[in-house]
Amino acid sequence: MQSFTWINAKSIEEVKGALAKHGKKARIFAGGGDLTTLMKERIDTPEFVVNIGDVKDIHYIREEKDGLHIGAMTILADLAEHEAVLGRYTALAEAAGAVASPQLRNMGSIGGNLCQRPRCWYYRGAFHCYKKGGDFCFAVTGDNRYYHSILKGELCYMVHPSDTAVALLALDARITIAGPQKEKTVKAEDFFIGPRQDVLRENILQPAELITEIVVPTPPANTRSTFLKTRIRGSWDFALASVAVRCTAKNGVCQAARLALGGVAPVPLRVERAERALAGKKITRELSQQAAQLATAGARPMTMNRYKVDLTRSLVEKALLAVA
Amino acid sequence: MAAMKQIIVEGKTYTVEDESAALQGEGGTMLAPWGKNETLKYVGKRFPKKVAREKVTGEAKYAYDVQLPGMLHARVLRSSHANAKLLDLETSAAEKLPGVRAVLSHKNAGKQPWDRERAVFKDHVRLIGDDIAAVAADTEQIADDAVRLIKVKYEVLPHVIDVREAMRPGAPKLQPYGNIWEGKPKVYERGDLAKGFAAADVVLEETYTTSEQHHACLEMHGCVAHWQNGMLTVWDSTQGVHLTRDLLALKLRLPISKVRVLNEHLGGGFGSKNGVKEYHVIAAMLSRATGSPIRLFLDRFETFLLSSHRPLTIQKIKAGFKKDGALTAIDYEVIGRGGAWNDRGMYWAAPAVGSPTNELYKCPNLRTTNIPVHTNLSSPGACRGPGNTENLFALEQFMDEAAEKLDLDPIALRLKNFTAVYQPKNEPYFSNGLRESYEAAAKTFGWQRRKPKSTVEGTKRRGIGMSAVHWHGFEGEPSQALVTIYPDGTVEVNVGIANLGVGAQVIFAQIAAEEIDVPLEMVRVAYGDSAGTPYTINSSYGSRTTFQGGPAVRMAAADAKQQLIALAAETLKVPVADVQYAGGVFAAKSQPEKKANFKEVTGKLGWMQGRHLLIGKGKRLPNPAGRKVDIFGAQMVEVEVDTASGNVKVLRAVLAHDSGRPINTLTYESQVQGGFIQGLGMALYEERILDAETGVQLNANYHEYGCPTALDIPDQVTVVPIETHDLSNNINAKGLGEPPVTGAGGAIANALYNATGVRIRDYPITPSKVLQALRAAV
Repeated sequence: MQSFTWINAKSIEEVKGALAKHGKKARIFAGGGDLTTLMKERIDTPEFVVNIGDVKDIHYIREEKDGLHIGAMTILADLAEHEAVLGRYTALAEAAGAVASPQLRNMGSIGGNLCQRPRCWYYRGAFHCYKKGGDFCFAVTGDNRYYHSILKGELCYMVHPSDTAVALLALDARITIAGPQKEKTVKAEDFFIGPRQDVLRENILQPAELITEIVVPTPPANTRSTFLKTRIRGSWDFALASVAVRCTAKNGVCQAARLALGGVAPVPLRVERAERALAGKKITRELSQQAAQLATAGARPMTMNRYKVDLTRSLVEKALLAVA
Repeated sequence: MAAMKQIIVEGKTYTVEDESAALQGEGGTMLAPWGKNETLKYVGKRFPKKVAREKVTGEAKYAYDVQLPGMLHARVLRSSHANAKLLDLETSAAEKLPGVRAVLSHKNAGKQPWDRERAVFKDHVRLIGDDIAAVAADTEQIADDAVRLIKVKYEVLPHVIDVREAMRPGAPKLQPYGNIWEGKPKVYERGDLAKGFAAADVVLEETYTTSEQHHACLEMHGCVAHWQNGMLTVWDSTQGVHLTRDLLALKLRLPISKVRVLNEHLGGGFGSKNGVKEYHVIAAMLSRATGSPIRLFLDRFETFLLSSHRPLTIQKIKAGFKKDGALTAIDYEVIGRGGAWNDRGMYWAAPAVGSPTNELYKCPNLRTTNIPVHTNLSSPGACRGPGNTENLFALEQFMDEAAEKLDLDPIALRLKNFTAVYQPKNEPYFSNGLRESYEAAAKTFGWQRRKPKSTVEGTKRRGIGMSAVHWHGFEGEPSQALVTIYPDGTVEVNVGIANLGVGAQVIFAQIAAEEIDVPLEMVRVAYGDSAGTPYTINSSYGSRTTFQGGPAVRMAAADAKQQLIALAAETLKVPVADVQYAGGVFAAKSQPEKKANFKEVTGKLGWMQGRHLLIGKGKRLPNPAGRKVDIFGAQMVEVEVDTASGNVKVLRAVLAHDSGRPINTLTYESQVQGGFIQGLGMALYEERILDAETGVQLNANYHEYGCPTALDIPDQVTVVPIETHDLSNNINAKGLGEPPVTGAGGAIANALYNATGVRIRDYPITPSKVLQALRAAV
């Protein structure tokens, strides 16, 4: 690990001040599960590390009139076990509970989880790829069996690693960003960006910005949601594929659905074509299968990950039947 | 002249050495093996490991934890190319960094050889990770920064990673004799292969591959070395203090008496911490150069890269059977991926693989071809159950396929080919509990409920499968132990072993307590220091620590007891032959009122009484000649396969093991469970994944390498000890640590087939392979 200066911020203002001062030389430490690994491997070598763990007003889960408000430093374990989250925002509780291992869920925050860097082993290894300012994606000709895309890959074929992001897309969440400018709020799906937009980062955050809050709107009546994830082992592993679905149904007929995929594209991916196919219809096995086909339509598997198409379809079908 | 006797096995007469005469102790003391139904007080009971508490409370100190005054920290610069010559090496920037105390490379330490073909610091690197230079500095951070300041100019040469590519003409030639180790495959043959196949009713041929499994030890590889006043002391993360000592003395040309190696606790070895690696020698050299103790531990990435691994194997099995299942011929070939250098790793790459094929089933006509192949990679090594594991993962799936083709129950086919004779040397086994293992496992598991096809529930399919277990015993190497009795009646067993973690300490204490007949808590085991212990075992490998050391400990305890009885005779003023000992009391047989308790007698010992301490000496003798020790068992599992996700979950396992007499039934269970879980890891998850082009390992970290987690282990793992009465040594032990790994792959793959109707012959059986196979089967 390269030496760095540790800044223990106590307030958002202190965080903003440190970020404004050090810009690209600083990183936010929001649990550290990902950042410390990147630093140990010298993939990232910040000169300043700003800890936001002691910032008081960003650890909370509150259900208000407009929905669920979550402070960015809220740990994943708390989200996974929170009664209101389990009851009305089920996909998020399930996604938070499916992250990594109990130790990492006790340390990891929701904000940090959304800002994870790619798990591609070329990015994590001694390869000068697009993500590190190079001009090649080694996964294309190399080993792409696990954490590489089947959808929307271009330039870089990473998959976005966050489980909670997938749930937040399906739950139509908003993300609040603080920085040198006025605080702003964006839709979860607009927060994440693909390699074509900027291959060096995975979201819209500028060096001096940070996430402060996530708001999940109160779901309409008769709405259920779920998150499903397939991984190699029972714990610890990232998703080979995941799906989150939120469905409002009356008498078995779907009125509105939101569907998002994880582990298959460089961004957590909302699949609106599949959502539209569900609206106004009774969710049956056949309809779920059709939606699953639509969700993966246009898939371009790489040399070693064709199986992920089948896997994703099975997950979509299972998730839809679970919330119908 | 040894006493011989004749025994009849499978209708044939064999002349073998008589075990009771062969196992005479010091001064002719008879110490025959314990009898089959002998009542034992401590042996065969459950006792927790003596160090368990220290480990779970964090009090246990490992080599990794050693901190010495003035200690410096070392890091090594390693090759980033798979084959390259060093054109230039510039170390001045590293040397100038504040806090750096020494920099070594081929330029200033080029004469220190590693083995017959290479120096410790290379100027021609053959694999990613080869040692180029080393730095000692005040902190590990400074050493790590300094290593990065060393500039290397390489002339990159062609390399080869893929094992089949390495065998092709025109591949980069890695050794003067070519890429097949020593120029040609190693072939073992018996009988007439052509005749055997001609006699077959059914011939089957299949190819299997096994992955490179890592030992993945929690404690990383490394040591702390201090070279002071001509004496080298090393606190080492090792499986054997004496082997490390002897090899360090050899490599550094030091007298053996000037090297001392210590190990109190070990955070995992599994075969990867036997002997010395470059880092031992580098730490010693840096200590000599700086005069300070040097701490040199590999980091997690380096541990994966360089601590060795199970080889990748490609195994082709062709066999002929009679309709009734009798084997007529086996033609077996294994290609194994070796490293770049001509070292012991090449033996583990392929020659070590194949003994179950040669030995487990009766087959008169057989050929085994072993092809170890050099590639530009680090060398494989012995990994818990080396060779037999790779081979059984293939062979036991093959036997399941053959049973189906022959329309026989998998156990029936195996029993049809059972043999009580070690075929390569035509010697009967001392004991063979394979038949009993099948029977006991089947009964406990409920094997008769196995259906040809699975039960289905939604996307879940369940199936059951089994595998035989096989491991080779040893011939009994020279092994010594001491047992000291102190004036206060406490007993110290002194053995030369490290602490692999299997519980040898409590086992040796049980054996001594049994032989002397003292309470277990009175016995302490001293170990882990090459300077203060006899040569009990060079290093704990081969599942033989108990098998080797146990008989020596029993002999030493018997010797101590003889001396104690002599002392009691003196105390009671009766002849030695008149003394009897039971329940802590010595008494004269002729005058029962004359008696003394244990402590009264031991109280006569020691300098205050003007006497020496009582030291019993014991040694292990070779096994009686003419018979073979092998270890057997049977494993059965039930799996659930999710056809939507491709996940395979082992629901329950029954593991029946014949390892001779179980000395400690608690540690016995943990050994068998732990071994099976390691095999499960290899069957379902673990493999070294390399970038095919560069040879860079892509998953050299715990997270992505993927050992099984608590959630991947079955809730029910039932261990059934099969107690054969083995006469190869005085404690009836055969060895246990490794065999439990060997059966997991076959049993799981066969259960997967039973559940889904698809065969996966390429381990590990990952979700991607399951999904692809299911799709292909539709």
